[in-house]
Amino acid sequence: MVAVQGLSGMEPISDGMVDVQLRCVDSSLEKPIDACSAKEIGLYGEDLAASYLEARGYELMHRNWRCVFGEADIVARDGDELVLVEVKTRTCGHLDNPELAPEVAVNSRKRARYEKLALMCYAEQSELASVRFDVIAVKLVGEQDVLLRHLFAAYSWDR
Amino acid sequence: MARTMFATRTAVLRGVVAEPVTVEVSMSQGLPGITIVGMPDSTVLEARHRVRCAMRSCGFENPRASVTVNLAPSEVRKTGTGFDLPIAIAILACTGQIPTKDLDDCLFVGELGLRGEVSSVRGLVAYAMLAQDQGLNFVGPTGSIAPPNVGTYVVETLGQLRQGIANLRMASPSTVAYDACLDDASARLDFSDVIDQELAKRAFVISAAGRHGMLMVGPPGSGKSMMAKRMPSILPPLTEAERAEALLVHSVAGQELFGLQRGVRPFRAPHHAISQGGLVGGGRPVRPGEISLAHCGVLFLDELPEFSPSALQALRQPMEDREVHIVRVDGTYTFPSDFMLVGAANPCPCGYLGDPDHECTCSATRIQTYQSRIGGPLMDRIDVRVDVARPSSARIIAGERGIGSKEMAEQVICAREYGSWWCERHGGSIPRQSMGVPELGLDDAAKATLESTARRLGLGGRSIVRIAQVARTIANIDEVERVGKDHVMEACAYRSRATL
Repeated sequence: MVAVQGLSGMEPISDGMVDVQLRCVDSSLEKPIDACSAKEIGLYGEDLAASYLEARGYELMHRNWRCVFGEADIVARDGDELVLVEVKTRTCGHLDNPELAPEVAVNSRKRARYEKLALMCYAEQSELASVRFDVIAVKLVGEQDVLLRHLFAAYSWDR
Repeated sequence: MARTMFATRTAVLRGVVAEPVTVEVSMSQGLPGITIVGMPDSTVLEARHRVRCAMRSCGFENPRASVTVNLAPSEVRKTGTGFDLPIAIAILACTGQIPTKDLDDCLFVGELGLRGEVSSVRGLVAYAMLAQDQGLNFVGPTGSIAPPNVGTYVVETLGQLRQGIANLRMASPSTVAYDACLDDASARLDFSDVIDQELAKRAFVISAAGRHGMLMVGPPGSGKSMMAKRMPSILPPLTEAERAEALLVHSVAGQELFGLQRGVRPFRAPHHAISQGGLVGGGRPVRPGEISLAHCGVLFLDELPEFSPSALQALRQPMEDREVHIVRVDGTYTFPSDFMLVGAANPCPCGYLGDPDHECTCSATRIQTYQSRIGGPLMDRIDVRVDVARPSSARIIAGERGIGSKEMAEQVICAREYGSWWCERHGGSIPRQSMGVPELGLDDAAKATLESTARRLGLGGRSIVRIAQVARTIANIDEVERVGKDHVMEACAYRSRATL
């Protein structure tokens, strides 16, 4: 796990999205970001997101929950809701640049996959009232500074 | 979650009729999302996004549950954006975010904007009529017209529903006095502006008094279009029943209703490039055409021979039946089409055939092709055909004004009043249009004249009846009980032109 600052006094969220600025004081990375592989950076981003969610009061249930349809980065519980979280981590670009925003990496094919994933996951946790799918975009600005964007209920599956 | 099911009432337009539809909303656990079933088309499916955004903008919470929306009866194809409001209300009521009191007694129609504002849809009059038939209150966007006996509420934004239906603003009955139209530019048109066309003006009075179709033939610049535009100024205002019918058609076609609400008769002047569907009605969904928009009013077809033959010939049946039936795979649509046809045409392509001062440059073949475009069967249904000559230059320069709209309108109203009195006395229950020659009160000299003319010109049955009817109208203008020889001769004169 990582130790971060900036999680106290966050505004509550129930819809839309929220941006949080974090500062990492005890990184789980052992080398500079530039020297890390994509996989290492991805794991680091998931660590940051997990810390953020815990600070929000979510109960973390699984990391990298797997089923036949794929993998959910984080499975958590928010009250009586099951929350599946997809974490996207980037080291370059700006959050406001739509081309580079981490959340756009979630395309429609993945969406369809997430639907099946959510159903499978929900099937295991059917005592919860509903299921939600969040996206957390993590942007590593420097060695310590982190911008985090939490898209709340990012998807709904209309037909 | 307050309930798992809620239903609201709305309707779908089919032609000019609104048919009832129930919006059922069911919530269940599962993946969050809105699913619409019940034959929605893409405009209805888009409602999911509008409803979601509108609810969020107005501070409501989007349910994180699997929402199924059923539009019953499911076998009818649903189209249009009016489902947004009833779907949103059903979801809000289902999740306990608005009071459910009175919702069962209302019919909801309205499109939602992303900020939650409720905007207008076409056919509000039809929806309100359905509410009236079903004894429901009508809840719709700004611009909803309150029919008698229906509580009509106006909802401006979705957020207002927090306070319940009873706190919404009531729509005011929106009929405006007839003479209010005097400040309208089109209503200021007056026949006295037309110089040196007293014969044509007489034809207009006859045509308006008897609701006869008319055709003006004349060279360019003789004032045909000018006179046609002044036709509404001599027609009596719409009656209450006519206004309701015309409002319905215009509302369903998404047209301006202001003039009709004030009782001004519709005047439609479509360009000659119009398609057959545009003229008689069609499209998908099927909408009324120009002939139905001219219901209870005037359909002016300028440059009649330039219209496509298929469009012109499609006029024949609606002119006769006063309604048009459009058959599609999903059934027959019937629109009212009780209009007065006013046509204008040049006698030939160059326009100067028969003009004493200009030489016509058209070849005989061209003239014949041009004139045959209208076709005998359609001409047969036009009772008053009048030649419009170029007005004399001296009179135009002198600015000599003839009879004006006020006087002509008086003649028309008197003739119509006399006509209905006469019909009541003689015809009893037979409608005016289906009266045969014996019922029209021709005296012996008139009958003899009609007979000899019919034999000389080889007139068909319909033509003879039509001449007698025009003669009856002329007698009504003169306010005499028996149709005389002069009346018949004048009526024959209006029919003597067999082609353009």
